[in-house]
Amino acid sequence: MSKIRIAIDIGSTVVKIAKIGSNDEIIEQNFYPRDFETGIAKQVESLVDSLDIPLDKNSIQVCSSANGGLRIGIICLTNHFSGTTFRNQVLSAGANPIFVHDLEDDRGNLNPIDILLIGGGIDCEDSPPLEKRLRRFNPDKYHFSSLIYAGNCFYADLFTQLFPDAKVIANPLAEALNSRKSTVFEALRHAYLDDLVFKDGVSELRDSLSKTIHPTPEIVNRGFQRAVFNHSTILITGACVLIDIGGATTDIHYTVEIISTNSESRPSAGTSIARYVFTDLGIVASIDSTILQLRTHPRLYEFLNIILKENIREIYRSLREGEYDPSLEILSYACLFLALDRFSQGQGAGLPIAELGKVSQFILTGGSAQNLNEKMISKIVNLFLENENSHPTVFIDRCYQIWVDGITWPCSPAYTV
Amino acid sequence: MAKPSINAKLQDITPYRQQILSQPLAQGISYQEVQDHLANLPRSRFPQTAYNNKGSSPLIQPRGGFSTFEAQLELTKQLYSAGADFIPLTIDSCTRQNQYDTAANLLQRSEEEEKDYLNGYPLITHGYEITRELYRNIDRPISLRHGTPDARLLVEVAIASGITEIEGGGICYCLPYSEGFPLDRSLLYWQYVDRICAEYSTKDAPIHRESFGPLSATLVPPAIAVAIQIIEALLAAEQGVTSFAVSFGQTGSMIQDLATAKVLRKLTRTYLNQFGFKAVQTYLVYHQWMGQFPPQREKAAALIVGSTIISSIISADKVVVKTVNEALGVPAAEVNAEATSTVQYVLERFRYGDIPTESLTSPQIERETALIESETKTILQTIFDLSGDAFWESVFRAFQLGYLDVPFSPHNDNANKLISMRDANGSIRILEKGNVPISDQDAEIEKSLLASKHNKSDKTYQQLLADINIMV
Repeated sequence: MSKIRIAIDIGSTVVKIAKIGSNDEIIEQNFYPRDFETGIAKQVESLVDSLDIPLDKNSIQVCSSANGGLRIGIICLTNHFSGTTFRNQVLSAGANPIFVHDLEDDRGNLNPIDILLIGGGIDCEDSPPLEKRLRRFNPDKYHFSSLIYAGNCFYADLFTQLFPDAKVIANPLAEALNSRKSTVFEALRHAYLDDLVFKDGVSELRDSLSKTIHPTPEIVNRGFQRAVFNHSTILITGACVLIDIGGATTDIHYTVEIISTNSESRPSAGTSIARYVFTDLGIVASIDSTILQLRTHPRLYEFLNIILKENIREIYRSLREGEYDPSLEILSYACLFLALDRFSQGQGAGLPIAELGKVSQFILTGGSAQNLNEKMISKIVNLFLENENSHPTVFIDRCYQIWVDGITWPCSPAYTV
Repeated sequence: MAKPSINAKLQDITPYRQQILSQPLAQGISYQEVQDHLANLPRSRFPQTAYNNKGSSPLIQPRGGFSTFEAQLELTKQLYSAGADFIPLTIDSCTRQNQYDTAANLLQRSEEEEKDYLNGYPLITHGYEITRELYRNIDRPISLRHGTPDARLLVEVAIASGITEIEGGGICYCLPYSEGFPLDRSLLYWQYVDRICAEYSTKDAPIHRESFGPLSATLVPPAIAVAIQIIEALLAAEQGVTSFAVSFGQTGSMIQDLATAKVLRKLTRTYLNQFGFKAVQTYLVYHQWMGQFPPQREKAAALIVGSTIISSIISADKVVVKTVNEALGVPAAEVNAEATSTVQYVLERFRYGDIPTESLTSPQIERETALIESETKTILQTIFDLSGDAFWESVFRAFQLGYLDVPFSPHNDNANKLISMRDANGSIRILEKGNVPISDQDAEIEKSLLASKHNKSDKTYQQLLADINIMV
């Protein structure tokens, strides 16, 4: 029986297929442009057939970053407890939280989202404040496709009476104010798959080749966790930040000890590894917002001075005036620069303040990172280090090992509880 | 199943060390130079020598740390003169939290204003070279007391300073001291600490490790403390540590102290042997009352005397000493020295001798011993049976699952479902076991013993408060 496994990553424009050995090492990997005429299911099946090795569903793992992830709105009882718990599980499931409101907040938000997630409080029979807020909640102020209730289980019936189309899942806070049940994570993972099947036509693929399809950010998060747990060939020597620069988003995955004690936003209690997604930083779909943020950034000249060798003043001027189209390489560095800047200041909804000086290692992964240079990245990182005692290392994952680690790791302890 | 194994040893720590020692604060530390320094220290500076040469009484270990070199030197001299067998170096809380810049700023202010702005000695800021000078004429072991979840750099500097006893562990220095430092990372970082302790050890001069058994020091059931001590001994042994002390804090019940000592000593040896770590030398350390101390000097002194006698009766290898000013803040050097002298006086005048602890028994002690042993074994076996790739991961998962649950731990990874109270004899009993996997039979025994005191007219929190403040 063959011990070779196949890992497939379906992106918006590229399909990556890797042959994985019995020790989770990459034997071979190839990239193929998406064939939109043939359709993704037939294209992948044909590519797998061409490998000419005996495979079954258990030996094929598939993930996809197509569609850019589900867009989630969160409405919670408190930002500090249910808000951070929901946000964490949304991010870990590879979805993108668009906003987090508390139930008292009646502003609403008309950005289109896939799922509106509502909940809060621990499971207890008597919670008049929650009941009052649920009765007052007005869904017309939001633009969503599905409504999910994940709050105090004793008020689930009330919620479905008020909103009959709502789906109810178990309260992740359960009986304690920290997230011990990954109910939101699981629900969104399934929702992602359903959404992908519906939008991208991979249902046949699921039936024929794979047991399930995971969101790529979840796989990267899992690979990161595996590395942190010393089960990877990537050596993690301390507090670590992983950055995945994509076309539509820039993801950071990090070990939570780097969060400043002064940060009001924090990952939910009990979280060891967290993720944040900058939905407005990317080199293709989010190119406009990335350039806009770059050209108006007060430290633009410092940034250009690092990544350019000549014509810095002229490029600075033309970029400021909107007359310069940065290369994909500059855009990738820009995403890194802007993400670290915002992370170091906690500038983003629910984004904690990171003490980047505590970071021992920065790891970059993903397609956009392949053309970047370690020395240049170190210089960009140094812009955000406040003291001379910091000495982080930079590693570019040029073999996509994090992805392989994630897709081949059968168990992620954080979600096996 | 992920049982403790010698194969879990970190094989090559070079890349980890390079990263740790690349920090400017570690400048100058060289493995060879530190090894030479350790080799040139008198053997009496190593805990194993001190333990092996001790008489029938426990060795004495005070605590203490001041921000400036001069104040620490004065404390060291006073404690030495007072007869401390182990000289402490207690670290400030900024360094414990890896906030080295803050520690440096506050040290500067302390030096300029001749006033302590830190609650301990900022070892990393002072550096190893000057710290060696603290102990130039000291022929007794120096003990590092801190509370640091990520102690990798601290311990590198400590060993380079000639400190040969490192207290702590991935659990005991994380759960009671931190709210949010991830437990998994603490466990991994302490693997490194254990590994470098082993790397610097020689057969006759091992760097000694000690776990911190009191944990939150608040109504911790003995079985939980014993299980965690054994786990930390096993985790250290996995990394090659050969000299290790398990410890526990005075429970508030003499019966329970006697029983805990018996079980802790016996099961630590049993499990180390079971998993192939027969070569590890183990010792028992007893902490004087770690809970709320009486503010009145006479009551505090009586408590110290009482616990000193218990340390002798349980044949502890070392007793960690409190001062009469415990309730008032960080004690002055003189008060610390006075406490050391008091304990020394009590140990000399009230010798218990070499009577084995096992011979001191009664039906109550036997019942207590059997109960703690049964509970500890069940908890540990459940953890050993967890699936996983490594023992440390099973331990991490045990906390996530609530199999290990430390009452009153502020840490996010702690389940906080176990509720404990005192029975009529002052022994700590498990009222609600949460997810801790003790047998139904043992849980019933706990409840029946608790029923002897349970006053239904009091609310739970009122009883808890009274139990916490039992010595006040």
